[in-house]
Amino acid sequence: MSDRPSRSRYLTPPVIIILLILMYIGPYAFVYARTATWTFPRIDQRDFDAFDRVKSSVSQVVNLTNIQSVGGAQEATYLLKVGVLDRKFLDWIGFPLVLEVNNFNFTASGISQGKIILECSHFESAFPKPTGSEPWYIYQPLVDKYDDYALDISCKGDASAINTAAQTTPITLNWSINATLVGDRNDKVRTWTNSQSTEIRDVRSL
Amino acid sequence: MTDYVSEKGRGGLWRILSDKDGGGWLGYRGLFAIIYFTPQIALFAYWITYRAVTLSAALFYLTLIPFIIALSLTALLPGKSGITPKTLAIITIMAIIPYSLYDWARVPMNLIFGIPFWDHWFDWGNSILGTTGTGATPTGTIFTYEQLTAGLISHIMRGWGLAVGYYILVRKVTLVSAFAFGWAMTIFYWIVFPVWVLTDALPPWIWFFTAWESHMVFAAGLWVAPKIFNYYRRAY
Repeated sequence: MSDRPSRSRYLTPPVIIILLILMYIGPYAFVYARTATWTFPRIDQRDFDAFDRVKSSVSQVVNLTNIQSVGGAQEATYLLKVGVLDRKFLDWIGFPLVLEVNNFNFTASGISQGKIILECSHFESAFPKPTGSEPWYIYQPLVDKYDDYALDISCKGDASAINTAAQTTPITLNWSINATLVGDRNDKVRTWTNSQSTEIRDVRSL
Repeated sequence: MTDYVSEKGRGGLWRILSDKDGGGWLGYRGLFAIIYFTPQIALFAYWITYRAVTLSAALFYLTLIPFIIALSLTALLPGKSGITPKTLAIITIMAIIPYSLYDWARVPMNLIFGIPFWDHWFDWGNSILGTTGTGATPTGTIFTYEQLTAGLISHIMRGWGLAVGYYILVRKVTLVSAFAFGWAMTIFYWIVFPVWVLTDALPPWIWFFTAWESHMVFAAGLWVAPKIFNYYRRAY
């Protein structure tokens, strides 16, 4: 005897419809559950690891680039390299990303023998990063390029406070960096402050 | 009405392409198959322009407008073409099975190998909604349930639309044609994603395997769905 009638007795249309609905929504229920328990925690973990791993960088050399008269006083212009290092990180699918750096704020003062030699203040709304709309062969070099990224920040000071005859002048640089780091799902404001020995190098003749 | 199991294919290649009843690939079959492929065509436009064409725009111009036209065309379908409003209704229900099986086939690949097969759903959702999420930052995040849901719906439209397109194209569902369609989808997937989709630029072997096995399960679903349908149509 065929087993069709007995199978049909149990697998009636309402049962089939329920089975079809379960079959239909099953994978999506899985995706939402995995998103809550795996995707989002994984993204968060990788974001926070990236926030902790990123480092600031302030050059130990300040370049004196120009001296000019401003209102009867001699104003010196310096360039200082400041940046953020190790921005590259792997996202939740293992794809390389560059950590977004926004609202980058740098302030510094250079002091020698109790006198302020130079002052710096710079705001950068966003560090460059790949858009994610590039083909891989363009994207991948950009990730490496922006992994460590530094700006040349202009600083000003009274030129009479330094010995312009000397090629180098040691100073103490007190600096502070404030920036918003943005990962895939999270952001964090990080602040770095330091006081470091730095030297002014006269590069006007170079 | 076309019987998707018992009707014998006949008439050779020319009959497939064209028949006087309007049922060939150059007639209503081809036209309606293309219309049901439009969700995939919209995604293709999104990918090959490196996301310059947003998925919302692509779905509007390449999917919504053709579907509105198709709605009117349905009323004009010649009964002898084999594609009628009733066949379309049956096909759209049958098409749920293959793409559901396709997604089921990817579930173990996530659990065993960690393949995050829904990663693009966030991108698609973001491109459809045009939002930048609800995060605290000015740029926001694409990783929200809203964007996942929008991306999921577009994914469903594509899988379902491709299955509907297959049933419209074939006069008789066979294992060979179902797997030929599955292989065509696999090859399309293997080419498009590594070439145009940034995050899939250099996929590992398991990515290729997952794409293949899930499309083979899709093909099996294409083949089995009409059998299930006919079994219950006879039983009740």
